[in-house]
Amino acid sequence: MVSGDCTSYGGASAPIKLTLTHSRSYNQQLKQQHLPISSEILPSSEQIAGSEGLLTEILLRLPPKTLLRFQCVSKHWLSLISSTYFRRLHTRRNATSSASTVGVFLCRHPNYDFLSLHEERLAAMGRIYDRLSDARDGKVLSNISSCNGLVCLGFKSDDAKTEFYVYNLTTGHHRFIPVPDGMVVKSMNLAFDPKRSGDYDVVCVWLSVSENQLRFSVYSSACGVWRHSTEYCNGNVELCCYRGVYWKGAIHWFSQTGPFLCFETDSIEFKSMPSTQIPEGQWYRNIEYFGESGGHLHLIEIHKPQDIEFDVLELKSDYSQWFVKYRVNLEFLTILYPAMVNQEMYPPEDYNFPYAFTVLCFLADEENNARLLISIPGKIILYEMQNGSVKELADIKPDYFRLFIGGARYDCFDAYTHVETLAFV
Amino acid sequence: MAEAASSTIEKNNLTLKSSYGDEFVLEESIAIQSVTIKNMVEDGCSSSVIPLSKVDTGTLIKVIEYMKMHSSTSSNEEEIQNFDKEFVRISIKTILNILEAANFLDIRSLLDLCAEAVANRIKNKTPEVVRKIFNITSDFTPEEEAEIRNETPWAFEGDLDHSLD
Repeated sequence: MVSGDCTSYGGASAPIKLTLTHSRSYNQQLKQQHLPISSEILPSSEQIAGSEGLLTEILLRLPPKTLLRFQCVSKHWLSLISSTYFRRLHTRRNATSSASTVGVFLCRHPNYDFLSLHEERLAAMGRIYDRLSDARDGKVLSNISSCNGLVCLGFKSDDAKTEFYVYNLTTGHHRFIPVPDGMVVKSMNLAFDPKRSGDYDVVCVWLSVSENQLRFSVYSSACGVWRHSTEYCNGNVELCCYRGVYWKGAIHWFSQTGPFLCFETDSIEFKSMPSTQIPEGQWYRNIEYFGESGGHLHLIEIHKPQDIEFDVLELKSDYSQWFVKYRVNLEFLTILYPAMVNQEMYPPEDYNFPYAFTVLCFLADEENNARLLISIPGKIILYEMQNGSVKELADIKPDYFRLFIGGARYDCFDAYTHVETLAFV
Repeated sequence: MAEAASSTIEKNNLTLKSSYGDEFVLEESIAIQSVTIKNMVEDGCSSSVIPLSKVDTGTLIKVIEYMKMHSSTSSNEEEIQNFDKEFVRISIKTILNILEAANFLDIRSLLDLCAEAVANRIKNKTPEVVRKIFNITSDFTPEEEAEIRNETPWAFEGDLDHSLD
């Protein structure tokens, strides 16, 4: 039997034996034995496996999926990987970026799928592994808000009552979010940034029936209590239809017709933010994408429905203005995929969409590599903007899917990015 | 004492002695990348020979090779990056030996390099292979192991690497 030294989290040294049969004997050895002074030199692999400090150094650099797998290496590894200390350290260290985006959940009732960005091309949507369905258990999802690996889900039961949960779909753990009576929930928006804290907030937009006003309240995971904002949002009822996006300590909502909105979770107050111009002669914007990526907030507006050229706008970090980060022209895609050009124009005249595509996701990383996840009739493709390469990720079976003009495809705002995390919920 | 040592730092040589008794002469300015050695030098408790009873000869040669490259003023950042990449193209067991030595000698950058390299190499491996690499005998009953696997079945899916190195 081999012994190695082991530094516990308190900093004290205690010996452990590596070959164990019962966890009880493990505890006894921790208390009773002293580190034997060995004259022979132990192979390093065994010493490292027994030394929590060095083992932690290695494990901290592994992705969540690997760590969940390695939990069954031994009881020692299980206790280390599942400890609160390690998970907090790992979550903070592996603070998410779009480079670590492993895939997207595509949610278009009744189809819920997971699309991996890393694996080789998948032949059919049916083959895509669906983690969300485990959580869903056949219930209707009425709210989805994903943020850095955690998701807030609303499950609608038969009696029209909705229950809200925050899930870590990597570990499968979840927490019930208790909603006080009298709060008619319009949307739940998750605010989680492992770089700031291991805890998260849920921002609830709700209708106060007695006041006939939209109210904003924040549930904090750290203490499990609600804080209610005293500020009101006048008139902008439309915003609760769209998901809020968490960025820099605040939830942001776009609007197709009114001003954008920004709500800080710490101060539970609104903060001003710039909106984009509504095109002249129109009463609405046509925002096709709104999300956070690579530490920035982005927005895609298709000004005219016939446009296949569009801008990716980015909000300046000081909130001063939206500026053009990229100009994208997808004309070349229509040669690769002729199905993108609608064969039948859809009357009336002002509803002409000659091109059938939707931008599901814009993914930028800290090194300024930018990718677009695009849904076109029958396929989902990933377009690398730097080198212009196109990769097919999945086929969409038309018969499996609600048809759009121009063939089976997902709509914008159906996609929720997913990163793996060991964060506690 | 410490001041005197640091003022003559450029000229001094130190002898590092491996656990096998092999001795290596190294400029002090290179050797003090190891915080452990640096402390010994500053405390004035190092005679010219420093015994490293936890580091075998093969590992010490690699550690010295690393310290020499990283203290060299003639190599640029790209050369050092390439060196690091090549440096860890060795067996996992050897990297683990160096990791252990880097920890004992307190050379943070070498420890980071080795930990990163080990993590990259075992990332896609199966738990069975990891047990072999780290000489661990599973202490789970088959039922306990099945329970852990069932909790997160997706973690066991995909192309897993069954090789030992």
